[in-house]
Amino acid sequence: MNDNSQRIGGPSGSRLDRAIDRAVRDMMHVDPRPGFRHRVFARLEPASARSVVFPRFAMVFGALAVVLLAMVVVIRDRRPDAGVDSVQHGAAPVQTVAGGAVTSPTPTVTAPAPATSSHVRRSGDRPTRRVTREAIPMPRVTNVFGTRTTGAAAAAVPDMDAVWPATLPDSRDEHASPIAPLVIPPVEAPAPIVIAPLNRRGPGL
Amino acid sequence: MTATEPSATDLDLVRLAQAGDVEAFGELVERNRRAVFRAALACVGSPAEADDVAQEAFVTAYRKLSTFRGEAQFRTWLLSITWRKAIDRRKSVTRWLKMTVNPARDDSGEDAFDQMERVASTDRSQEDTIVDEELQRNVTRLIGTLPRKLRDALLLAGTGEHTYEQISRMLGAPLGTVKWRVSEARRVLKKKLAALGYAYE
Repeated sequence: MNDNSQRIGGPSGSRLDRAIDRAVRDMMHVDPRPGFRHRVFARLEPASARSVVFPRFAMVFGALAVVLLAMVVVIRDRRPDAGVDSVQHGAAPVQTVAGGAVTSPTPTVTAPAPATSSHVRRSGDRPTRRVTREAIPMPRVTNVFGTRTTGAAAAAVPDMDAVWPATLPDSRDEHASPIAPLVIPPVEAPAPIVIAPLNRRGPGL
Repeated sequence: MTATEPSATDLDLVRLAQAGDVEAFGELVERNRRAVFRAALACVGSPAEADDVAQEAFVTAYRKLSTFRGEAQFRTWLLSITWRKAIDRRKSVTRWLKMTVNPARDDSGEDAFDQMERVASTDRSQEDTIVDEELQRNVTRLIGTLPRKLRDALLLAGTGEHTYEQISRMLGAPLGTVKWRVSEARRVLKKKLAALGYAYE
């Protein structure tokens, strides 16, 4: 044991020096409670166990997160899209509006195509709309301005009804009347501008 | 070389512990527990907190054992860790709150430095004993009023477990500064005791 009690300034010391030495010795010559080694090792074990437990908790939480994510995805897929019941199949007559001739397509109400896929209705659920996942084909625009005539024409798009059907089936109202096709009258060519010649015999000219 | 051999040095035990020998580290704990505990006690003033700090120091030393390269003595390295832990504990906000609510009391309900006062002499008259006890109480109380730098140096020098070189490393101060602080602490104490009526010799 190292003894630093040798005071600076002499070994005999005064009464006060001795009192100081004794006080410091009484304060500092203390040993830890029995079982110190055991307490130290007890602290070491939770630290090592923590390093094992933490990855386990991480795995559990990770698995829970995956399950929750899967549930969210499934629920989102099952939820029906509002306003979309089905996509019509079959071609309607092409509507071409050119010049003054307007051909109104015969209003046809095609039965909604059977859904290619539909969700399973669970008992107790409210009636849900069928959701079809058939892709809507984009029309191939050939001539936006129609055929070359004297008048302007609306866009001539084949299979227009496939894109914008004449009727929008509404499951809520089966007897809905078809919507009349939009008719755009051709724009008349402007009258030629005639500029009358000036009268050169006027005053000041 | 095994951990149970008494001739094994601290460095040998450290090498064994670094290789995974837990018993070797246990032997290091046994050999250094007193020095570590008393160093912590000099800083925090409470045996209960010193015990806690000492445990933390050993746990930290165990975790950082691979970083010990043997350039210094293991005890010196360990005491540096202990002192940093003790300083952190002394500066901790929770400890400050505890001291504010219940000043200078540890878990046992006694004053932090008063608890260390012990052993009355049995070979003297009762009056002398009472006078000396009163003097000891005053000295102990006045030690608690010293500036921290002076008090730390004085108490560490009085543990009987630390050399001035080790104290110098712990405090991060030159050796001469440490010795000056110890001397200055004693001078201040004697001056205060003189103010209380004790003869300044």
